[in-house]
Amino acid sequence: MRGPIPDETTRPVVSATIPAAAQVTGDALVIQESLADPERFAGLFDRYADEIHRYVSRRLGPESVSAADDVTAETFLAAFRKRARYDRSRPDARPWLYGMAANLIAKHHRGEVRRLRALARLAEPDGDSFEQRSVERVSARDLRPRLAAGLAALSRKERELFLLVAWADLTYEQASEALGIPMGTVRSRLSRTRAKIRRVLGEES
Amino acid sequence: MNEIDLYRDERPGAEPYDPGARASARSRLASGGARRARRPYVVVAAAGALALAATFVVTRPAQVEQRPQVRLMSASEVLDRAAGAVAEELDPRDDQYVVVKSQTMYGSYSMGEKEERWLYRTSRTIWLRAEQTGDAYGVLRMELLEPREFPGWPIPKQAYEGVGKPELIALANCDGGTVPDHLRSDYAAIKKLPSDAEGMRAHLYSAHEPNEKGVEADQSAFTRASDLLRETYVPAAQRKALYQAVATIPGVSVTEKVRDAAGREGIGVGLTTQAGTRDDLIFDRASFALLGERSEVVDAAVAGAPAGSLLASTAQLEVSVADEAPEVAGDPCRTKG
Repeated sequence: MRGPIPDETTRPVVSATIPAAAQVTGDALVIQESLADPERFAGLFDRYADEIHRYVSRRLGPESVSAADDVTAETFLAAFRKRARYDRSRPDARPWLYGMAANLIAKHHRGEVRRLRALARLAEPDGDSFEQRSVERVSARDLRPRLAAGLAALSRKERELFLLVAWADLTYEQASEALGIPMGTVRSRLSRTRAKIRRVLGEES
Repeated sequence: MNEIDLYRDERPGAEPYDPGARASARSRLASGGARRARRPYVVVAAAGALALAATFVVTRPAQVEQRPQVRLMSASEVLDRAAGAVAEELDPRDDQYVVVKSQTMYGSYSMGEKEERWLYRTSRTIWLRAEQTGDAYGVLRMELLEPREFPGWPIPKQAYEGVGKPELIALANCDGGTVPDHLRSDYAAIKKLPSDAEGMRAHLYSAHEPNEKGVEADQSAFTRASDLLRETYVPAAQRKALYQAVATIPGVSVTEKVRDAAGREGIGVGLTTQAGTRDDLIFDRASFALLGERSEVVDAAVAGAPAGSLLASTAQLEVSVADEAPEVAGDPCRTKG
């Protein structure tokens, strides 16, 4: 009787049992203790807030600093609310946090694409002088136009996975955990993504 | 060269994390962490208000409901009746407002110098633009009612701040972000949702977050259904599909004889959550109209409160359409950081 479920987002059901206390280590232990003592959760913030903020800030760009602040804050708020559901057999909470950050970044999807396209246009040879000036201004900190064009060509899901690996340095396995997609999908999506990027970069050079 | 390495080497610079924003995120985590609603307008508080005498403290723990009942209906029976229920239907234009009056009780957790918990209650009316485009999407009139005790925690003074003083709050989306289509719950989006149970079910399951699988995805689907019904107007076709879709969520069952925040008795339909609670939508026994929602502790260890205590309770009192919302002075996006 179950209706259709989106294929890529489901994973085989894993046993929902909570491991014995002895096995709960690392971040999982902090999260477990925060159930009884919510203040402990700040420990997780202290450990990862800067890293998550860096990733969000790269994704949203230098002109959206306050949005990056908000997304980071909301990531940890969401994590705090959902901490009871954390899979405590996983000592490293980074994939979980990145997954939530990715979800929140997705709300800025349209803005992100607009921005990437604008950056990409700077690579066009006949860009007007204003845009040429912008190149110089922008290139010091921001993504190079050609690379922006590559990212702009990707779907939201492709970009999300690709950047978790390239910019957040997640392993394939961690990315699979973060996005809740199977390893097979991670591999195939990444190879498709790389091919797309190769094509775009090839065209532009 | 591998494209991943190329992008890794050319990583753009990240803006520094402003220490003020960082500290405020950390303290928000500490003070508002467990509040239920996502939008900023639920943020209670407002300091400086006259603290009422603490003799008002309600020491009676949230009431425990009685379960056993004579004639039991299954969840799908209740939902089927709800799906077929006749109601007065509305037809707001995109530029009009859906107006919902409700009474709510949710947990408030504060972790300043001393951790404090209480149940805050409000009486509220919300005006939501039928089509939520742009930054400003509505107005909320909210009055804090007497707080209740969070089982085992004395009610702190700050819980009384602002009680009895209605506030008018402009609702605006100030971060410039857009809610992805599958998470929208404004009327314009709801009326475009599938009007068949299968399609609606797929929609409910599309809301789940990364990492969620199995029962977690089921809970998320139920949460999405609740989000669609809370302070909204759902047209008849979508409402029918929605109730039918909820009936297919594994784990959904009936809680006989429960009350909503306004004291109206009804039948609960819901499931147990991994937060140690059982969450129900409440339906009227006769008309099968939606009355409200409730959340009751079933796992004391996980929820941090005795089994049977009520941690959330709402009542949706009236839904109507209006051409205008009350005026609120000032720019809602002005206060920042």
